Amino acid sequence: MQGAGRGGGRTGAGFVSGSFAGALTFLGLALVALIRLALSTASPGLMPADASAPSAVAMLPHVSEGVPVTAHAYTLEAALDPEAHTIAGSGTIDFTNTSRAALDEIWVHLYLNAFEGPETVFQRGPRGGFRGSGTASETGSINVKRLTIPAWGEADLWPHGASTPGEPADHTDIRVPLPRPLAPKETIRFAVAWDSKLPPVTLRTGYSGSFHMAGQWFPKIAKLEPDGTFAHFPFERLSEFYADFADWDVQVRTPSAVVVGATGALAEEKVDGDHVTRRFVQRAAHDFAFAAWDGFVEKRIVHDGVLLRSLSPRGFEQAASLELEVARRGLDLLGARYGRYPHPTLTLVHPPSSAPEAGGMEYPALITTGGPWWGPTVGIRSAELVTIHELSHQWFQGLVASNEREYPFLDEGLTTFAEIDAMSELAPGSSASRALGLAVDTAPFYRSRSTESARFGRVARSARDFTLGSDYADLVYGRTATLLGTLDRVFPGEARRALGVYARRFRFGHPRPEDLLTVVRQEMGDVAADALLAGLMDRGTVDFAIRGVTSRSVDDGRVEVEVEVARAGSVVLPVDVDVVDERGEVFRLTWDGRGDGVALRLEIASGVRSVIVDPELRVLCDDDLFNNTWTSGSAPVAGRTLGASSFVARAILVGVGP
Amino acid sequence: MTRDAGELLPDVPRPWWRCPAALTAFHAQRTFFGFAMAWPLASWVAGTMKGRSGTDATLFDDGGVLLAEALRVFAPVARPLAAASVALLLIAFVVGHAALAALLDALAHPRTIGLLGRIGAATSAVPSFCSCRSHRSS
Repeated sequence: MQGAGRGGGRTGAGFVSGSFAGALTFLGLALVALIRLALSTASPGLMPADASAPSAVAMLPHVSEGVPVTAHAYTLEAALDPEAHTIAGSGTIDFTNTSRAALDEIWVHLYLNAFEGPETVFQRGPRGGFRGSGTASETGSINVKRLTIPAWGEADLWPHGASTPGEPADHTDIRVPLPRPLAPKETIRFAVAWDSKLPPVTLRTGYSGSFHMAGQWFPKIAKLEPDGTFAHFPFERLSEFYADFADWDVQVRTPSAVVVGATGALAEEKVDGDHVTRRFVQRAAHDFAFAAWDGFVEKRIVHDGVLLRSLSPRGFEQAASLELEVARRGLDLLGARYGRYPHPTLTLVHPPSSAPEAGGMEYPALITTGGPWWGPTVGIRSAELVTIHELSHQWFQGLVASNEREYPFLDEGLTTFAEIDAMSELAPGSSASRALGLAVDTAPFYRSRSTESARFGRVARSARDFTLGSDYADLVYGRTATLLGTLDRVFPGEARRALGVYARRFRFGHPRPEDLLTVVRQEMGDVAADALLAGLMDRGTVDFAIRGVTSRSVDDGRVEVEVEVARAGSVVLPVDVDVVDERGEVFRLTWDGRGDGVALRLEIASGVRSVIVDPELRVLCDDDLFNNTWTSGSAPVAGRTLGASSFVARAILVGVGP
Repeated sequence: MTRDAGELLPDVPRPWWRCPAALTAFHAQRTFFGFAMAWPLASWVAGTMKGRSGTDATLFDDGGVLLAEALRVFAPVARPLAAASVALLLIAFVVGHAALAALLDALAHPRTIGLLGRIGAATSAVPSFCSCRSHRSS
């Protein structure tokens, strides 16, 4: 993609071709062979709940370092009926009480039930301006048939008919009483069987024709907090992720013609008549999703020990190659910044055009991309942006698993900053588009969108407190990224570095906002941390403005210039001020930003021509960039604007006139 | 009384260089209205960008920070400006037809009646010109 950004054409196109493709395919096959070999020899590493039923996930090889042993494991079997759009599921869940307290209940999320009717919490959620506006034309649901703890007896523990607390029409957050308390550090194995019915693709999950995107398709135990409470909540429109890390061993059975992409590495493939069962294994992930379609075209590359699989519709080969290339470079860029990607596989799913709402979504080791096929042709980088954004989620959500519902800015906000930062290196100056001869980055548009919304609400609030989807997008994504981008410009590269420390420190952890602020304070100092605190927690804004410029002659014909600069808002940041004299010489002054304003003085040899506050546009979150300048003369003609707009006007006249 | 459109069409084609005033008037009105429609925007941009080196060229710098800011700040005034532009466009539409009619008249009839005279003669023919009646039908 960098090649595309620098005029090198769509470097992704034709990426996997010829002998190079052959070599990569060989490497991919070699990796799979290595995985299989390791599976046959590795020793269990998971704390077993029942010695008589060893977890196959525990045998997954350490393809890369740093993956911890987890306290939970899902061993599931899923049979997809692509015509009925149903999944028949069964399996076991190994669950360890990692808290300090004995547990007399667990909470289970059945998020597919968000689509069972119009009155669910999800369907009633804020829609305006973000993440689609439609509802499923058919319902989707998940029905747990039986939940037992075999070691404790055969009694069915599932509370059939139970609903989300306080929400009788919602069945996405279910309390399951335990027959006896589960002591700290004690492990139990649940056996579970359920049926899922996927809705037509609606925001992330569902089917379109024979394409199936299976997210939130199984019963999932809510996040257990150290104090023994569960962070449980119904499925909401604006958030979904917060869970314990677990190991996964999932078998997906489909008709033979169906290609499956899933979280985890393909460990085994068994053909059974006209069906095939594929077994995927994944260590230390907080979710598992899969996509299945008989229309997928598959491409594979291996990069730095990671098998990258691209699954895309026919006709999207150029976009798929581009996405693979971006993912390859993204793994390097993001890995260098936030720690190496630890998993052996990454699957990129480009949904068919009939299922756009399945695109642009992240799951551990699986992302969905999107964008029109013509985007690369006209210079719009939608495919690259979506790919990098979802890839960034592999760190800020996949590895640093904060509570998306309570602190969505830690998820989407940090991801957006990482996306902007990575794209600015992949396509400097034109990370959003190079269409129509205009090189445009994404950061300015996140800034523009968030500037108005920042006055009306805090960034750091729960997803459930947002009443407008557009506010969620502007503040959680845009404002967080703009604040961090500002810090990274005012203290060059420091915000990126601090975020790298944060990502490494809380890798496979569940940090909170105070953890981020602590790292920023330690790594960047009080000024940066206080600015971030004000911007995130207190609707903090900043607006630098020139209030006046005066000059008077002093000795030897020199001129003393006094520049009054004011700062409105509660975000305090240092800022540069350039004074340009009549000869064009530039004198730079710096104000630490403290107080409401400052009078800066200097002596220059000739009169002052202009003054510019923040000439390099470092303070991206400055509310108004057009009150930052002063000039001694009248405004010159805006030649480019006049020329371009008069051309457009004449074109209109030719079009509508004689 | 209006003339027939056929009278505007030349029996003997007249070379275009023989009617420079009509040609100039036609293109001048189009250029004028092009600039007139563009001027308010350019004037607004000049005012907001004053003090920056390169004035409005900075808008088109790689990255587009100021371009995005201009779009954001410009949004509230875009609607009244668009309304004014539409009004100007309607005037340009009428004037443009008159200028075109004068040009056609000049090309068709080698007489010396001056530009205003041509515009007057052409204007009287506009209704029939617009009705698309053919030369043959007369």
